[in-house]
Amino acid sequence: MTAGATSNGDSRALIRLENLSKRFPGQKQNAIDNLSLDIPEGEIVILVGPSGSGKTTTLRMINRLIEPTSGRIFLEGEDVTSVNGDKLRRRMGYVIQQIGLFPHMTIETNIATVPRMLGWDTKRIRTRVRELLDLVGMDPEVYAKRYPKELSGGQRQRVGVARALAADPPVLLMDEPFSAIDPITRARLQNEFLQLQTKIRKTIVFVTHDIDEAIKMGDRIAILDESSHVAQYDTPSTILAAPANAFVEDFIGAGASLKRLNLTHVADVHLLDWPTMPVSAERDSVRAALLRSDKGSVLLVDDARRPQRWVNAMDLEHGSIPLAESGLEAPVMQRTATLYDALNEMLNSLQGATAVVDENGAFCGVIDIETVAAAIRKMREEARLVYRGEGGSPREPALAGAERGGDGDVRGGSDFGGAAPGGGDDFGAAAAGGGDA
Amino acid sequence: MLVGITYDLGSYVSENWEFLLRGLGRTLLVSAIAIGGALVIGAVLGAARAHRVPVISQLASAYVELIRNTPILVQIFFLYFALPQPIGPWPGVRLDVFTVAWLAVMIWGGAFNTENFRAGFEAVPWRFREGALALGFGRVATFLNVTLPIGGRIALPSSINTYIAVLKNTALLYVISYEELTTSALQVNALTLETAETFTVLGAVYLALVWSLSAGIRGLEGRLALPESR
Repeated sequence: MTAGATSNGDSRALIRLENLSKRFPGQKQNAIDNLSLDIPEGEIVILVGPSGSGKTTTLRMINRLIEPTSGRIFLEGEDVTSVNGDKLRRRMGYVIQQIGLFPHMTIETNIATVPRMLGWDTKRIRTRVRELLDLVGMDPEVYAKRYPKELSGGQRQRVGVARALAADPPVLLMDEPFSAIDPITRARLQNEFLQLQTKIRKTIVFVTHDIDEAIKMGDRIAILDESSHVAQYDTPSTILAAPANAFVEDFIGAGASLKRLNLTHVADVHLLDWPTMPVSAERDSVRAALLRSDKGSVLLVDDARRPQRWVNAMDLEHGSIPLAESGLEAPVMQRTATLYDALNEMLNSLQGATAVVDENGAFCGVIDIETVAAAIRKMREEARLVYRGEGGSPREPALAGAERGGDGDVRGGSDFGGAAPGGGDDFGAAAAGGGDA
Repeated sequence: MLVGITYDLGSYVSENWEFLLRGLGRTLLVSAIAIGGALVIGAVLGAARAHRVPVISQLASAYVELIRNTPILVQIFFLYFALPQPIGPWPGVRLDVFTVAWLAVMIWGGAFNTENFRAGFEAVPWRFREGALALGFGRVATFLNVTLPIGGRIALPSSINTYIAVLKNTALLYVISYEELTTSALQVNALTLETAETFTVLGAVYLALVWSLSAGIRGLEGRLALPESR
């Protein structure tokens, strides 16, 4: 396990941590021990590790909420280890657990906190607040004058992001920002945040204990062991394909194959065309559409092209049932969802395909189980390349396998389907993982 | 002439209202100074206690213990009678009766308010302070912008009780003959012997006074209250 981890990407490091250590008073061991990490500009770097690995402490040392005992911190090439901490923190947005919006200030005042501190004039602050609320998808007319308690958890989280971005800092530090939110809202906020990042291109350090979130959100993941020892620092796909050691492998867990599905978004794969008909159409015209197509069913959509029902030839025979209640309900998938979400949906609904919709809920294609399986096959190929050292990875996966002793064979035999001993059946491996999820 | 045999509130008030009003004015003045002072003492020393500011925190703690664990009557006597005595290096300082009056009730209220505010500041969830520090507020700015407004609201209900007690404690200033409401009423009583009327009026005035004070602060509390989630 190496303490040092430097980026092998081309982009220059915006934040550089150099031999950072922290020992809290009265403790024998370093809480953070000799941590070095390069954080490239414009990327999301995830610090992930079990509780007690010091990931939050590390994050707080970056903006010096916690002062390091030794080592140095560089921001944009400048040594900021001993500059004024308050001024340093104004250059780094910070989104904390449970957001920490000030309950006695309106949303507007909350967001304006840093600009006010920096002495912006009122007009500029007002404009900026409105701009930010728009950016995070909240109507300024509706929300600017409200108080945090009048907002839902998801809305508060968005305001937290807006507040952190207020003075346009180059860096955003996020400490488990989505952890206190229900799973459905969390998935949506994650997707929205990724969308936002394509616009703002900040350098983001993001702490989580959830490896699935790390894989989904990260351009790069630093997996931290005890005392913030970097067990592996690489892209999510490389980490999943070639865990550096037994610790990383354990941490990724048994569903590694399935987790790789989190790397690909539904929007990135080729969606199938599917015959659609308005739900208000005549039965005969639906039947005609079905005959014209090579598919076994037709998707009924409403006026806004939102998917309603799947109907096949047999459903159309039952003349007594109105079309709107015929066939099967049509569950939908957001385009920003991952293949993991799609597979999960298919397994849950016991349908081999699911309709995909855009931001407005309108139908834009179908993803089927074949598409997911093809993606898995492709990943498997890529994983092989990494395994053979063609992926540019500096590590030796074979060594890591040797560390695990007798298990080395499993990894050697089925690189991608590591979760299931029968590595030949890709899809079976993924489905087995799905049972755990 | 026989006095005090017939209970006649109307003529009692019409004959003595000017004198009693002067007393009421002094009660209000002393209470206002003491409540204002107790507010400042409470916020400052409460902050020092909650943030464990070295030296000040310990001194504040000693002050609170001293005041809480001695009768306020003894404190008034001490300021009025003991302070002027030269003891050792202490030259002895004589304060006029008005100064002792407001000082005594203010010191008492300040001690109780220190505890109210300490508890209020300590109840401010850490994440709000962390949020402020992370955004680049310094320690003092964090206190002024976050801990004080949030903790102050938390401390408000318990500090109302302290302000009410301060107002009522001014009646004890009778013992140093400061002519506030109670002293004035007792003087009227000594002259007129209309005891029943005296204490009826005295009680009614205090009731109205304390009731409006607490109603006023509750109104303020309502205005400061943060909207709840719906």
